[in-house]
Amino acid sequence: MRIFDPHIHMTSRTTDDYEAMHAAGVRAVVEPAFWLGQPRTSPASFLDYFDSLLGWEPFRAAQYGIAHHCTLALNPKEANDPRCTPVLHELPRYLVKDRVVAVGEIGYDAMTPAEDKALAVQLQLAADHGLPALVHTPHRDKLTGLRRTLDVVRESALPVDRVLVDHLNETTVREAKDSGCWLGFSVYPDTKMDERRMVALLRAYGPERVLVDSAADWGRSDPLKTRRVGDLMLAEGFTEDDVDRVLWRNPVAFYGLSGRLDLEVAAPDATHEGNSLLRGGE
Amino acid sequence: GKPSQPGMIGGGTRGAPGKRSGAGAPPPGPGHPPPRPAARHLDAHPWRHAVLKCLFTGVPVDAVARLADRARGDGELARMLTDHAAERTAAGRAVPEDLRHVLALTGAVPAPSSAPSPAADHSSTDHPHGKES
Repeated sequence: MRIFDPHIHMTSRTTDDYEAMHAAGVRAVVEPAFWLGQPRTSPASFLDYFDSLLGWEPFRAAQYGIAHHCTLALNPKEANDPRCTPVLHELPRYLVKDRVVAVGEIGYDAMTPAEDKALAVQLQLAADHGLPALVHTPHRDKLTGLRRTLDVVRESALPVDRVLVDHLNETTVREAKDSGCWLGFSVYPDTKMDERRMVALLRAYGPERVLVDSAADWGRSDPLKTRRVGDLMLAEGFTEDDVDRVLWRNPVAFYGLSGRLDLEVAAPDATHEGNSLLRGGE
Repeated sequence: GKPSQPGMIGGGTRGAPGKRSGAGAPPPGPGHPPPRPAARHLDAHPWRHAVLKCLFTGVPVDAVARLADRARGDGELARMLTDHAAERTAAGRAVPEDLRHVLALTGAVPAPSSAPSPAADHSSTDHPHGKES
């Protein structure tokens, strides 16, 4: 089983996770820029983070045979902090970089006017840079958030078939599917979605344009949830081709819209900017 | 007003009255908790989100100042609560008791109580994932 996790925050994970993910079949990941838990206080900390997603993290992933790409953006939560929003002016010079395969995660957190603005600006940036967009749907008031998200997308220059709407569930999947966007499901140990519900949704709505991710990060999460979904799909009568479609070909097709996806994992360098994973050695 | 903290305003040992800018407001510090509940500073939209955030993270809604007053007749809050109950029910998860309580305060019809009670759901809260907040 080959697996592409289209949404995972590897910066928050250990090398043990990379090792376990490779053993489970994960060969490619996309790491979206997001909120780090500790609020940022200036654009400079975004830029160091973006550099890390473009440099150090692909270097770490390559040590374990995993291709790493990223999506960059001002996340919805910090779009409300005027100390952070100037990073929007810095994004264009980052969005031209080779391993940036989308703008994201963008979308709504508390559905404020500041979030409206950041979402619209960044959808335009995606259109301007020939990139698709990864859009997070809010935890609170999710269905309203989805509808407002789709309204903003329809008003934007970015075609809806270049948008992946993530963190969907039973109450939002129908409207999202009808809109023509790509459908993302984050499978967590609890909350958002679990593997059993995921398989039920695949049975009800089919595998077309469906992506399954772990969204693993610094919170309670599991980077092997993609594999768990694949295993349960097979146990429940889906074919290996169905599994490959959902866990590999769909994410390849979506992020391939950027024209930048490179799934060959080059032989890893011993060091990145003079530093290795070996403490004290370099 | 409130008694001044010794040595700060009118205490006569260190600072003189009027030297400190903003004199007249009680100084923050031990014994002077912020007197104004945050609810007074929130417009309707962020207040509703704050109430939902309590439900997501398992903070008892009793902590919300003037909850009954503000919830009464709030149709938008009722809609958000009803949608959230529907989302939990569709996921096979329990609807938090506090949600029904707040929904009742709005004056709307209570959420359906027919939600399946899945054995796997050990809690009515979300084990708050950090990004919920």
